[in-house]
Amino acid sequence: MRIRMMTIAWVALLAALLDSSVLIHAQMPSQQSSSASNNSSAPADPHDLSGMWEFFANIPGQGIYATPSKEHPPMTPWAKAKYDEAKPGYGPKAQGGGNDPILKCNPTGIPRILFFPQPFEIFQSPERVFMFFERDHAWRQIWTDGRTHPKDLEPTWMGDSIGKWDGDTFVVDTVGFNDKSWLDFYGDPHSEDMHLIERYKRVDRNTMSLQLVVEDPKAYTATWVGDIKSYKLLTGKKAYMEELFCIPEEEDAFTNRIRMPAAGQSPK
Amino acid sequence: MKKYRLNFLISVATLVLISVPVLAHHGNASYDNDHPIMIKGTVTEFAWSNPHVQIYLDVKDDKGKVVRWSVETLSPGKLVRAGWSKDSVKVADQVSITLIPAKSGAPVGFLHKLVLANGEELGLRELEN
Repeated sequence: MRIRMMTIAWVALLAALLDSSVLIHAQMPSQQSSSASNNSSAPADPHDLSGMWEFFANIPGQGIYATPSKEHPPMTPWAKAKYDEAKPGYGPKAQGGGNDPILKCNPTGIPRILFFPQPFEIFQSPERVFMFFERDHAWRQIWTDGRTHPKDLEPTWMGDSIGKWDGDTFVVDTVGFNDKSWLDFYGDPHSEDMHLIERYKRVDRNTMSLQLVVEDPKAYTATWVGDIKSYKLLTGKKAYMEELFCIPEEEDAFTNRIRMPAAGQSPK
Repeated sequence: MKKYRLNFLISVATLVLISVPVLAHHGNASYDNDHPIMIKGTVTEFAWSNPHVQIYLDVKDDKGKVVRWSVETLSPGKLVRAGWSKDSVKVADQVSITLIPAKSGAPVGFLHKLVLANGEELGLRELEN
C-alpha cells in the first residue's frame, strides 16, 4: 500500500514538473545547459541521458528506420503465421491500407515506440529512469535501484524494466510483455516471452545511440541484434512535445479522407 | 531554350534533394516516391489534427476543371518543430505544394514543401543538419 502511495506521489510530482518548464529548468541544470547549447562537441556527462531525444532518419550513419535491423532472424512457425496475417504500411510487405494495430489506437508498445521519428524525454530520478513519449502520450519507468524482475508478471504493453550502467552504457532489461503489439513497423511479431535489452549511450552532448537486442525463442530461432540508432537532442524552441493521443475518430477521419483514397480504396 | 533546360534540370535536382530526407522518414507505400510534382491552388481547409495535419485545396487541371486535392503532412508536433503553426495556412490562401502523389491516381499526395503567396516556404525538416 505504501509503495503504491509512493508511486502515485511520484507520478503526481512528475506531472507537475512537466507542466512547468521553469521548474524543469530549475531542477535539471544539466538539461538546461543542453538546451542552451548546440555545440555537439561540448562535453556532456555520459551518465546523464536527460533531455528530449528524437530519431532522425537523414543523419549520417543512422540505422534503418522503423525496425531493429534490415532483416529479421528466421521465424518460428508461430511467428510466421502472425507475420503472414500482418499487413503493414512499411518494409518488404508494405501496402496501402493494412491492419496495423496502431490504426485502431492500440498502444504502440515497447520497443516499437522507440522507432517513431517523434521525441521522447528522459528524466532520471535516484531510483528510476523515466521515458515520456510524445507518441501515445505514453511513459515507462526503468528501475535502477538494483531490484530484479518480479516473478509471475502480468503481461503488459511496456513490460517490466530494470536498468544499470555498464561503463558509459545504460543497459535496460525488459520482460513481461504482452504479445498484442507489433515489434516494429514491418509487422514483425513478438511473443510474451520476449526479453529485450536496450543499450543507450550518450555519444556527445547532442547525440545518444541505442542498440536493441531481442531474445524471443517462441518467435525467432536466433537472437535479433539491432543496428545502431542515433537520437538527437532537441534544443531551444524545438525541445517541444505536443499532446499526441491516438483518437479513434481522428484516425477514422484520416483513414477515410487520406489513407483509403491514397491506396485506391473507397472510403468506408 | 538552353536556359529553360538548365532551369528544368535544377528543378528536378532540387526535387530529388528535397525528397530524400523525407522519404527516409515516411516510406508510405501508397505514394510514388520517385515522381514528386508541384500543384498550385486555393486552400479550402487546413486540418490541424492528428495523426497527420491535412491541407485540402482546389487545383485547376490542364482543361480548367477544378480538382479538390488532399495533402498529407506530418503530426502537429513535428510541424511545430519544423516551423509551422496552426495559423500557418488559412482558407482561401493561394499556395503551391510540392508533393509525392498517390500511386492510385487519386488527387492525394504527401507534402514535401509548401510555398505561400508571399514566398514563405514551409517544409518538414526539424533539424538544421
